[in-house]
Amino acid sequence: MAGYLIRRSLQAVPLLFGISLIAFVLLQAIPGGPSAAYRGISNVTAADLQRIERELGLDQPVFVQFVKWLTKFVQGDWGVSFVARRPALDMILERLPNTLLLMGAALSLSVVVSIPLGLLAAVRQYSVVDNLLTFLSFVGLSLPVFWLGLMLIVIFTVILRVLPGGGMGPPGVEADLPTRIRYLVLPTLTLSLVSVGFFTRYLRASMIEVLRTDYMRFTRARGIPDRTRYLRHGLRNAAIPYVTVVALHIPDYLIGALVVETIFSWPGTGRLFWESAVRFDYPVLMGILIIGSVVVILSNLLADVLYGVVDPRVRLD
Amino acid sequence: MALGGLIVLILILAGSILGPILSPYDPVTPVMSERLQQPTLAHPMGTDELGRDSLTRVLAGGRISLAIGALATLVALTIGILVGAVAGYAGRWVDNLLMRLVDVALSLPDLFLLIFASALLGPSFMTMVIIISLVRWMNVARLVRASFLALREREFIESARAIGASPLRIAGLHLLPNSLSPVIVAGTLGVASAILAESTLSFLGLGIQPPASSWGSMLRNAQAQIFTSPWMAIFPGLMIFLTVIAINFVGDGLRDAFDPAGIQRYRGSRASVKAALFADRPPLHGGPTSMAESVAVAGPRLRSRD
Repeated sequence: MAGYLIRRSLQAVPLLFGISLIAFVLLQAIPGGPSAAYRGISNVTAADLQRIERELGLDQPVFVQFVKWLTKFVQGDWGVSFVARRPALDMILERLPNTLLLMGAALSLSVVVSIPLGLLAAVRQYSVVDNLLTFLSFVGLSLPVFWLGLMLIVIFTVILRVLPGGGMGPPGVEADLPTRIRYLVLPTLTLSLVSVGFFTRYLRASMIEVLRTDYMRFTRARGIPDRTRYLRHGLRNAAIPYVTVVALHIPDYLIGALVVETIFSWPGTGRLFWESAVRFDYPVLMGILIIGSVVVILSNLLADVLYGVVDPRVRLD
Repeated sequence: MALGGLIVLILILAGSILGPILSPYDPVTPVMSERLQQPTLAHPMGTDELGRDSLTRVLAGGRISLAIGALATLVALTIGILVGAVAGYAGRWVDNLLMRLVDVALSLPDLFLLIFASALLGPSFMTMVIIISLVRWMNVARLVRASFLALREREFIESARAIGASPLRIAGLHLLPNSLSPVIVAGTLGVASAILAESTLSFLGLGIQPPASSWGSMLRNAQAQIFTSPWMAIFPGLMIFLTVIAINFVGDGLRDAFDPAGIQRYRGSRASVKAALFADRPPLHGGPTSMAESVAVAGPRLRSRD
């Protein structure tokens, strides 16, 4: 297991190298180069621009810049934000817990909702409930996240006035736990939609396969009550591929979080990324892009590892 | 379901194309006397903050959104087929190199990359087509490569080789047509995901720029007015939703038509289920369609008819 983890992590290194190279090359493709943020500001003269480019090392060959940037990046020096004039890494780390909170809440909600629904649909295959759930899953798969967010704001904030439509708490006040939870509700609901339909369909399909196996037929022959059969014998086996699929979908929550954070003014990394993109703040952009890629790679690894954990028959080596 | 989807899709397409003929209003000229009106008979979807008729703008936006969706998917399919075909036919180090490239491309969270690229290159119609296609080709490349690998050793390819057909002829005339059905399904669903990508970018202000309209950018305007004119947020989003769900139904129908055996292929050993799950790793992006796509290529089908 440890050997497997080490080998998989080592495999991620060239992947990350390729990703940072792509991001870096893309930066060079900006019309005006990475210092474009300073161009067009009225009190920045051509001499200032040259000085800035020299300070940032932008007058050196691209390859040299890349090596220098990468060396610093690995050492934790992610550059200074052009806009906030603070280390990019600090800015990102400040916001990261908020994003993780939102992702964690939404992912948990999706799982908690999809397990009973998926089970119900599988056990009552082709019933009215199953067909309804099929239709709802299709609806869920096709709803744009940002539109759902806006509709929830319209319903719960504008019309019913029961839930706040943005932020993490009332501005300027240290909020207590119930207030914080109230602010978390709408963003979590919106974000959980990202995969709940898919999770439900997946668990249903997986459970239907399990229900058709000989050992499930045998549990019935033994006279075990249905409830126990479904939960103890059925779900446990159906959950094996389900867990993997959930892990594989973690990046979708990161991406969805970006959209949700911009709608609900949630101060997370996604919103920071968007703000930085609008302002050409590229040290921050690069940092978050790489963190995002690490999340993708880690969730792939997690999916593989979890597969081995929940199913002892699978050996990872 | 698939037929219903097709009808809805044709209606939306026809409405968008015929928009200028159907609507008496201009989609971009402000009419300040008619700002922020609620839906009425004269303006079935109301008017926006500059007094422009929302229905007219929805139809105009539909032209842009659908065009970007279709064009980006075409470009993505072309790149994907080329890369997949070269990798699957050439094999060895070429295959290895191209597939590592696919791995790298799949490891970038695509909405982040889209925002990054759109902000850097400057948002425009062509930028959108190019960057969306650049984050959507990997899936097709893997599908084409996989079926090329599977077909390469079959007898009919061997016989084509034996009678001296050139590699280009074998790849283009024998391998490719036999690899197309999963590509067509992925392509259909790809249009939905491209439309979602476009509207997400436009919603974030990094896509279609004013005064031109797209469903996403209309929702962006609507968000600014959400406390005074909440109805503005309803219709553009409804159009995105209807278009995407219609395409998903059509794609689902196509999959059934092409591949009645469905999940049977992936059954058998756990290892093969796992291989299928990981080999056809769906593209990641903001829109929920990624899930539909992953169902299409990897997992159990949304509608298992077994």
